Amino acid sequence: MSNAVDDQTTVDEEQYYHDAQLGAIWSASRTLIAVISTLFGGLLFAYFYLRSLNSHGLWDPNNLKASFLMGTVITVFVVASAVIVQVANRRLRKGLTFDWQVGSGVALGLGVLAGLFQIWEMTRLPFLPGQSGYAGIYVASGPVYAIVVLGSMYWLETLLARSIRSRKAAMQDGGIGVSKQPSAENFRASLDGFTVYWTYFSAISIVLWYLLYVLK
Amino acid sequence: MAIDMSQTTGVGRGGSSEGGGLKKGPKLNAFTGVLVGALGYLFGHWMGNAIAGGYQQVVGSGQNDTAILLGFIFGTIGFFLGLGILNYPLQKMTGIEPPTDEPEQAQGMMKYFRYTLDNKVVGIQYLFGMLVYFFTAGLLAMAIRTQLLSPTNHIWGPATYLEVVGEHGTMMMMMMTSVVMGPFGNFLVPLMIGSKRVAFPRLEAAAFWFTPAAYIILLSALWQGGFQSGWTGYAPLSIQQGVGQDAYLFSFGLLGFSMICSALNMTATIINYRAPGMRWSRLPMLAWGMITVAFTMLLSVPVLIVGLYVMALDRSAQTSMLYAGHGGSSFLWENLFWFFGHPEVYLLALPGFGVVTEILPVFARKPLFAYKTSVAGMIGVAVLSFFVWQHHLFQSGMNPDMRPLFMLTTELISIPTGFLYLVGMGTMWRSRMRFDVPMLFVMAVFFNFLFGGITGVYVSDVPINVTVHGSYFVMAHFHYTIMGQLMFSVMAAIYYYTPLYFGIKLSEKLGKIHFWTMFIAFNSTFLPLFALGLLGMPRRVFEYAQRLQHLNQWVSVSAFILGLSLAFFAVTFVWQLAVSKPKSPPNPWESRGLEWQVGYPVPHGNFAKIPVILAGPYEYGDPNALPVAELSAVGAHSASVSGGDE
Repeated sequence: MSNAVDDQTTVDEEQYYHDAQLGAIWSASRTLIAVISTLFGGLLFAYFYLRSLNSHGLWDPNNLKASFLMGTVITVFVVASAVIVQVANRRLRKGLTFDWQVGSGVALGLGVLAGLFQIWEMTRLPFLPGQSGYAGIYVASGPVYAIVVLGSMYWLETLLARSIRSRKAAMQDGGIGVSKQPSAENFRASLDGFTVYWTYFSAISIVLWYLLYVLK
Repeated sequence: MAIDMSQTTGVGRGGSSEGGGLKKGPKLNAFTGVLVGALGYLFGHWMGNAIAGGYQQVVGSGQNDTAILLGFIFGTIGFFLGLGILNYPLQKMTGIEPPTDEPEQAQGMMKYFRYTLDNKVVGIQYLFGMLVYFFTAGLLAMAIRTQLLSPTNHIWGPATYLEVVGEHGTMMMMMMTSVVMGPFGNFLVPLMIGSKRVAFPRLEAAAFWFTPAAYIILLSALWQGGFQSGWTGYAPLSIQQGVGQDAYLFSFGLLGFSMICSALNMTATIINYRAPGMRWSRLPMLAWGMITVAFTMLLSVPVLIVGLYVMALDRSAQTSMLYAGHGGSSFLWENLFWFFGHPEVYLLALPGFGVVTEILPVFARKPLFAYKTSVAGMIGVAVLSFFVWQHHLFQSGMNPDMRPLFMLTTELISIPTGFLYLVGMGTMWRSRMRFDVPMLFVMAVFFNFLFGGITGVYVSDVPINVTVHGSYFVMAHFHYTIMGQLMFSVMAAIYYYTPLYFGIKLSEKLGKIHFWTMFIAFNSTFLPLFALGLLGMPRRVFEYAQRLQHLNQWVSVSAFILGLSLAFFAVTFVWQLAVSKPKSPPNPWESRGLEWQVGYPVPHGNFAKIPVILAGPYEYGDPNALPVAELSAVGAHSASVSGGDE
């Protein structure tokens, strides 16, 4: 960006910082993916480390796992939420703001339910936290997963609320999905960042589902 | 070239407080934060007792870690609530998009006790915070050396001694050195890259306010039995400790969140907010240091947070991830901790090198030697730092076949580090140096780092590592790299940037007294520790062999002189800031750096208009060099320095 404007004779300050802000949202959302990766990477390292070590044969001696059904429901909800956000985002780009609002509302509901189910699941475990290496890893992963899911839903909720609040202002030039207004562009940058991030997180969810609920 | 000045209501200017959150800001400050935080702690503690008070383990031991941890969690939330930090995320939930800037605040001390979006105020908050953390840890170091004056007569018992050692190490490594990006990155980087603002000012401000919360919680460990595990928190000792260990893990976790927030803002700012013409090849070295550190933090700190979280669960929820007896492993902690811990060591060094390579050309009056090599050195150190952590486990039962690999990676990192060293030497070579106080500290950095760096190559070799592991030799090594490099860099930066931060120029005479006493006392304190280590003195013991008494006494007395030197600095610094206030001319060092061109006081918004960068910041001595930027100076004492001023 800096090089591109180097030869210009005039810089529109407002436009300059608007572009910078869009770039910052792009950078931050991708950086957040790196942070989330290392966060869950640490948990996965612990999983594989204790599993391969199988200290005193106590990784999972009785093959006691958390509920497969609940784990599947949680994962399906998160993946479905990510898919809906993707579709709703595309509808928004066609100027269908209401479709986006409905879609994001459903995605928000699914995500919140997934987070709440994860918390509920933590109260119904068939093992004690210190019973095995697996038990410890599950007890550690569950709250982190729930917090990240609910935190992500906070982000989606702010986007939804913003789209509702700015509905009238952006409607003048086609709705928030196509409007040239800086606030609309800012909104779409944040939404794009969220969509990429949430899709990536749904992939993490599938990996976790396989390791925590499926793999014997 | 010209900038369109017609935009008077653009982003970056003090706009209207759309959301209204900032209108209420001034009423909230650190004191309301502490008050609400205390209430939050009480609530969390009560809740923890309600949840876990009846648990068999809690009844049996009388120790409820759940209550302590929930107290810390709600205490921190309350602290943030009392400061007004949570207004913004709550407003966002209603769809309001609050402004990204705030009107200029009134002058006065209170602005430093508030949650503010001004990057310069945040930088100064960090500066004083960092100094408070440093001096607290320094006092604890004095306590350690007092105990070690005699091999047999004791001031404290062994447990208390270990508490002091642990608190000192954690305060230095976690609190002081980890925030080093704060005072210089937040204040200087926007100025250096020609930006009127940072990418995420709220994140930047919140990052600072994590640190006083962490400081209070970490200090509280002292009256909760401390943590004998030291700053590395090795299991299973850390699992068996009293509630002081909870303070350790929670405060360390808070610092982790602070580092992530700060690093997110720093990377986004440097990547996206550079002024027109500020190419990567013109980016000041300090900014390079900050962005490499930020990336290192972003990729390593989450792993530390996982490690601390695992420790917290083992202590409170009775999981057994760090207990070998129940399917866990204490080595899990060592891996998680050092995956963060060793990049951490380098992320302390990189800002230091950023500072010295920034200052060096100014006083050498010649261009920075091999700029691209210097950048390559920083990137090389940052990347390689992720592949060395297992050298901390050479002695811990790791697979012996893995040792040569990590020995090699550790030795490899000395190559990019050597780049940075050689860049310094090359810049000094045949220069016309001015030996002002900042330059003296810069030269001391290179002198000290020679000891720290070379001994680092030795201790990375498995045979020597096996011999000196856990001894004072290793302690001397890392004190030379951390205090000898980083703290001397920080001092150089303080003396160098005080005119820009505060409009005063610290006395050269007092500064030189401080420098020489600190430099001599530092070396007199830590050089003998190499000998003590080779003679067999282990770390973290409060008794030692009689034959080592004379060396220990020498070290202790030297440490006291070092402490006095730093106390002298503290007193003279505060005196000059608050009482004598020696005025500084604009740009007293005749620097080409963009940050110096705005004059003092640095205006709200940093620049009247977006500057257009025309040349690099280090082209000293070149009569044909262009000015560093086209801008209109707006400060009360604006400076005007063009290229080739020599």
